[in-house]
Amino acid sequence: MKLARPSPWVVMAVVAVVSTMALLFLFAQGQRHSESSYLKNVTLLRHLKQLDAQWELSVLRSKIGIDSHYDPLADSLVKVSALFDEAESALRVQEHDEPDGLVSAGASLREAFAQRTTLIERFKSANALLRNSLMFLPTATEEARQAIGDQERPTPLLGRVSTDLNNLLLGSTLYSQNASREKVTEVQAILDRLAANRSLLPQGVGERLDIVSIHVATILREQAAVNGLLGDIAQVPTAARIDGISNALSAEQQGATMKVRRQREHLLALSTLLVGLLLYAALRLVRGHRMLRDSRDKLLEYGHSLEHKVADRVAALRQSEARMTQLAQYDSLTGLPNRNLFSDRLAQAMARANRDGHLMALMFVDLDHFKQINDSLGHVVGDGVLKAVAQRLRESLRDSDTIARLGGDEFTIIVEGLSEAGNAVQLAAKIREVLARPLMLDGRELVLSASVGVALHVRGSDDGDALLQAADIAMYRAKQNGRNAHAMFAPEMAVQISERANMVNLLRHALDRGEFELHYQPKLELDTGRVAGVEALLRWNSKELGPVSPARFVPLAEEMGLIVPIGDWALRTACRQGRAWQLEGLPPLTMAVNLSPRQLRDATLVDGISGTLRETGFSPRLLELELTEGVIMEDVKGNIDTLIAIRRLGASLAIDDFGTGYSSLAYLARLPIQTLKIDRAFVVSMLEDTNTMTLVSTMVTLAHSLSLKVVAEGVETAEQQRLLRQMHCDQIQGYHFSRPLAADAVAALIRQNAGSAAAVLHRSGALTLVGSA
Amino acid sequence: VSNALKPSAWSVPRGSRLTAKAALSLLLAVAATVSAAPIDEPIQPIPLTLKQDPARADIGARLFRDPRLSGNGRVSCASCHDLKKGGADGLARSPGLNGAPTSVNTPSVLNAALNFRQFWDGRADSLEAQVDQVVQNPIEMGSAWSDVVRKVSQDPAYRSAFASAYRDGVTKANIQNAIATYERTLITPNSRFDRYLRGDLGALSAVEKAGYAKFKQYGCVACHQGVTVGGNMFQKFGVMAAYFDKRGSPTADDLGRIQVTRDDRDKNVFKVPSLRNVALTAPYFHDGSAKTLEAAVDVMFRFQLGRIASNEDKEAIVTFLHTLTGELVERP
Repeated sequence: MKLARPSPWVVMAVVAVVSTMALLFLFAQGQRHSESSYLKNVTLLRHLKQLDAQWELSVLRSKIGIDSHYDPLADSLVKVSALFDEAESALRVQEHDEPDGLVSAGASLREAFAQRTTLIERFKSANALLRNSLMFLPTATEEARQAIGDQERPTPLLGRVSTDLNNLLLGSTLYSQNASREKVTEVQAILDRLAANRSLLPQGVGERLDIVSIHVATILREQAAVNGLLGDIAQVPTAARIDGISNALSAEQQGATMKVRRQREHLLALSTLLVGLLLYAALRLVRGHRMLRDSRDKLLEYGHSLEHKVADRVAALRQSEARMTQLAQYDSLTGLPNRNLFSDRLAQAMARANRDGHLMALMFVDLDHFKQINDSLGHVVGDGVLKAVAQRLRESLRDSDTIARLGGDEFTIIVEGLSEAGNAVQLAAKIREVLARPLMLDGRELVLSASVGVALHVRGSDDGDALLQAADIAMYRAKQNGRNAHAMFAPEMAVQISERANMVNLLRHALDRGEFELHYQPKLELDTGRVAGVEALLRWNSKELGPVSPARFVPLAEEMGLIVPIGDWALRTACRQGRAWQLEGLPPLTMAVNLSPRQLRDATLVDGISGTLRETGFSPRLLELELTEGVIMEDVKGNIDTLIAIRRLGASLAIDDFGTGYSSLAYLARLPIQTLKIDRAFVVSMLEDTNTMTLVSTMVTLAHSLSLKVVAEGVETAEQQRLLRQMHCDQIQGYHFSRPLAADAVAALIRQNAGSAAAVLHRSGALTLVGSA
Repeated sequence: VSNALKPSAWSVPRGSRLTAKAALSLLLAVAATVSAAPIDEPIQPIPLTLKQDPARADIGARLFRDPRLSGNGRVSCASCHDLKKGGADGLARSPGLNGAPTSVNTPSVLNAALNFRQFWDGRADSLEAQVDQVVQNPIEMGSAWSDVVRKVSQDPAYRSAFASAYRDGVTKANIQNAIATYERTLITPNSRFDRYLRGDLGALSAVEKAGYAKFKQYGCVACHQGVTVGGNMFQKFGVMAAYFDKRGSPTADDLGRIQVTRDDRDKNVFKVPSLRNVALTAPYFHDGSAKTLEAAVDVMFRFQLGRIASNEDKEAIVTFLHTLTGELVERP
């Protein structure tokens, strides 16, 4: 089991507590060996020794006679005793390594003191007697000699006694000064002699002699005693005992000093440890502080960066908001105001115009064929075109003019401060001219055109929608006028617009109400004079509007997406009619049916054709589908698969309105087509313009060189027919031969034609056929 | 002498048990200090005062006269130590608590503090020890200390006085100390002889001065010297002649210090008594055998000095001895 590593603070606390306890222990130990108490004891002992010496000295002083009384001795005894008691109790208070030794040393010292005290007391007694007798002996001797002298009869004995007395005095005095055994013997001998003669002496002399003898004896006795006591007193080992105690204390102190030294070493070690701990703690604190500071700095830094981030985020949000606003108000592609902002600006501009009385115009610009550019060259190119248009519009207009993009290829321009209406028209022309300049995009050159509608603000009106609608109508009119044009709004245009809206409404229901019918315009084969086939043409007999021209409703149907079901119906009806004609026994006729661009883009187109053929039983080989040149060229790559699929069904393909589009010969060669139909505009102007005639001739030659059949449309005169025949145009179609006919009228014409085909062939000039209608 | 001034000799802390030795040390230190000034004589004047704790001395004064310290409440210290009778009672033997005579003559309490030992045989080192023995002595006061402490404790006045004077209140030791403290106030300075010693040469008459000279000349001063004129040494009674043989009927108490030391050499050895106020303290000697001062002087000449003095000399000495009577201080 792995133990958790303890916190450094815990370790430090434990070490600190242990160290503190050790310190306290050492401190307590140190108290027990106070040097001062040792010094005090030693001082006491030294003092005691001094007193002891003085005590001894006092004994000598008393002996010699310097001190005439014993008070100093008694005083010394008291002082020594008191000091000894003090020292003893002081030593007893302290703890010692060898208390028994000190106690016994103290006891022996006490014993020594007691011994000395006893000896001194004896000394005092003996010395007092000695002094007394020594002092009195001369007097006593003199009194004894006087007693001898007082005797009436001197005897030899008395003379000897007198001599002995002198010798006694001399001997005793000498003895007291220099005690010697010989003197004692000598004096003792005299005493003995005197004692032996005592009875022989007269009473007066004897008594005096007794007194002398007793004092001499006292001197001898007490002198010996004093001498012995002085020696004994000096030999009492008090000083040695005191020294012994001092030495014991000193040894103990040395031990204590050693101990203290060790303790000091321990203290030093502990202190070092504690200081180390302190430093470590301080270091940790400093580091902690630094970490805190760093953390704080980091926090501040982070705070700053956060502020920056927040600021950035706020800025981003503002940008985003601005972009939202931009998106809300501006077109993301071109950067022009969008419909929302345009509406505001228009309202403001109208308000200003109403207030200031200025002339204000709204232009509606729509690029011609932009959808084709977008579809054929891709959205990237389309977007590039829109950007370029926006740029050109910005460059050609004043800053004060508002240019907006409403969506798709629709641009609007608010022009304020016009001096007259004509300026608006001039401006529209200028815009068209600017936009028509060739545009280099993605490595290719494009030529654009635009239709521009202009609507003037009517003073007092604040209906922006109406003004926009007016401009839109004018633009539409410009489109109707063949595109690449501009038009000024006129009130009657509004009527047309409403008619158109009405027509759209009717058109939605026309199929259901069976208002459509097909007319068939025969095509004449110039070589044989025979009707080669017919082109099915859609007719709308509106109950409300009456017959409506295809030129009016087909673009509308195309625009509204109605052309697909209408186209289906037309194809089915044409196939059914072609099959009916076959069943009637008519010669095989090709049935040409127009396919609209939208139909071509319809993914179900091929299946639909196939189904219709199967359903009607019409021969695919007799079915010819016509497509306008523009439709095919919009998206050659996308369309070619569909065209091939149609060809695989067995149907043939024709290019309608050839010459109006941008067909390249390379594509033309690759397309799976069999027929070119020359647009009526070329045929109509062919006679007046030799260039056109050359062009038509070239087209025919070209088609033939590509193994294509050539059909000329809009042939209305014999002269045209003759020229086309000379050009070896294969077939013609137009009013000159036959206008579009109802189905039964076609059948009648075919039957008639079949009979007169040779005649027709031979007939030169125009052949006028009378229509059934 | 200078050593007497050492702090160790003086530093007797208040409230601690004052030992007799310490007190004596103090006393003698003062005496020695004072004695430095007078003319160098074997006799030294008594200090004018011995500073004592007044509260303790006051307690001691009351205890000194309190018969409750005796077993039957009949006698007090003052019964034998009458301050008006020279600190003793003038009797050869004093009656104890039951009337039985004490074994030896009552020594004077006056200047007892200046004696180097207490009792005739010097068996007590201090006044406290002396009190201890006397109170318990069956003949003298016949008390047990426990009874004494109890009796004293039961007295509210004592209790409060002890409580204020002693840290531990009424105890055996404190009672002894209080009495001893009082006794240390019982000194008698300013005797005419002391005044003479201090330089007042006119304090003594010519006869008295001659007496002092004889006192010295005859050797009395060999033992009777110092502040207390005795009281600081032991001496055998009957040095020059057998006193007890002459007196007759020897008793155990005549053996003297041998009873303390058990040393044959101390037979008939007694503390040399102080001659202070000696004129007031007849009868004399441990046996109270000398009824008068003259008789005592005669005994001394015969048995201690071994000399024969003229009547004039002896009278002169007696005259001198009268000058040793001092004035009782009895104040702390």
